[in-house]
Amino acid sequence: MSTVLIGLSLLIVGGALGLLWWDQRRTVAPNDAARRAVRHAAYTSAVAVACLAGGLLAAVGGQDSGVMTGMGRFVAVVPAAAGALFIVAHAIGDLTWPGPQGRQREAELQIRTVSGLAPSGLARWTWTMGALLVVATVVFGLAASGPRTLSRVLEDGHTYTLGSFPGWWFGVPVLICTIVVALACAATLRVIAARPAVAGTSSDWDRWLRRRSARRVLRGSQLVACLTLAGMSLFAGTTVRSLGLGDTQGFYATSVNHGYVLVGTIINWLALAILAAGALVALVPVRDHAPDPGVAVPSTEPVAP
Amino acid sequence: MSVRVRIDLDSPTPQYEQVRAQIAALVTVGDLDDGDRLPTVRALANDLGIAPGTIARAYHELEAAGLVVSRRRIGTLVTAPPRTLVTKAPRDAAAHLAALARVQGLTDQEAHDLLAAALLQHGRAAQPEFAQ
Repeated sequence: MSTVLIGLSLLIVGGALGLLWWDQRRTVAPNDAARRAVRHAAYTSAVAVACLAGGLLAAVGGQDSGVMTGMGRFVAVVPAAAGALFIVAHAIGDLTWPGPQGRQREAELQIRTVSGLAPSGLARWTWTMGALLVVATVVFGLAASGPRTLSRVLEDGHTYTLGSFPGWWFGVPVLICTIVVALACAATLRVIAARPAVAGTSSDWDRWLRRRSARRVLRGSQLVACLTLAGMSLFAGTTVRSLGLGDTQGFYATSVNHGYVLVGTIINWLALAILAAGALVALVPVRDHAPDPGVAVPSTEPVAP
Repeated sequence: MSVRVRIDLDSPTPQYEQVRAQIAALVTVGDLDDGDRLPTVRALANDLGIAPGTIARAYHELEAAGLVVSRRRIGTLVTAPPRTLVTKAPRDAAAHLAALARVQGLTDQEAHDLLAAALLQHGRAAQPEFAQ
């Protein structure tokens, strides 16, 4: 099982890195500086994807081999930690962006904002997923009867308690990591907006390259938010469902509660839907070709002596 | 808005002065309108590959001349002076000088030197009035 999982994961990572390499090769760059910038962006993304995939694979491998048994809290924050690594790799890539060279340099007097840079739909989706994760974590924390248990009151007044459930024991570290990832994502988008413009290219082409970097950061961020949200929800849904099904075979036999079973099943299906949506948004290519590089950059503005 | 500033690292003119002079010229000629936002200090410094302090000084000088105003959370805004009849004649004369310099094949430096010499001949006392 683990071999198949790791093989499949490596295949996905290899495919993603191959896609990055192919994308870098096919991009039409108007000059050497643009080619250098595209290459830098591709290397940055490759390292970031490797960080993200490496973190997730290590967690899957550790869980599968039993190394992480009993380390549920650690497993819960692995996607966020891998996501933080992914974002940090992007931030480093953008902070070390190749600057202008030559003795004569020029810059356009234009405002570059994060809102004008990041694809609005993707940005909204990412922040929505982050907010949903926070809301879900708080709801699970409030619904829990203990740090990591959930209870239901039986007909005879006794309570039937089951664990593990994503209560505050898991919720607090997940909340902290989610906030860290959200702040890192916002900061990296600002770095992308402020990084040096590519010399000798039109503002449209430069904006396109920034938009591509922002899209990659947002895609990775939403993926880790979706993974964490799906994991927490699946975890919660399974426990709620088990609580509803009760323990008909045990010494303390409990009746079936169809309401709990229904809610648990719905949560599980929602978790799978979120997982699928996150994977789709992260992997499905977007049609956003580079603008025509033949556009000449105007150079008739006044120059100070 | 698609206006650019250029700097020459080999020029004897300080970099902040090159940036200041060009933005002031763009405001005067009307390419930058009242209320237009300038890029952040860091963004413009990154684009030009120079220290942020250089751009900050240029913006500070522009602010002192009343051409821009810096507002917290908004950024640096152009506060273009109103085009009045009082400034029309000097602007026309400057435009005439620039056109003549182009026709005669003078470099920008030579044209600037000519203007500086003319200002010198008319005495330094008039300079504070121009700055306001």
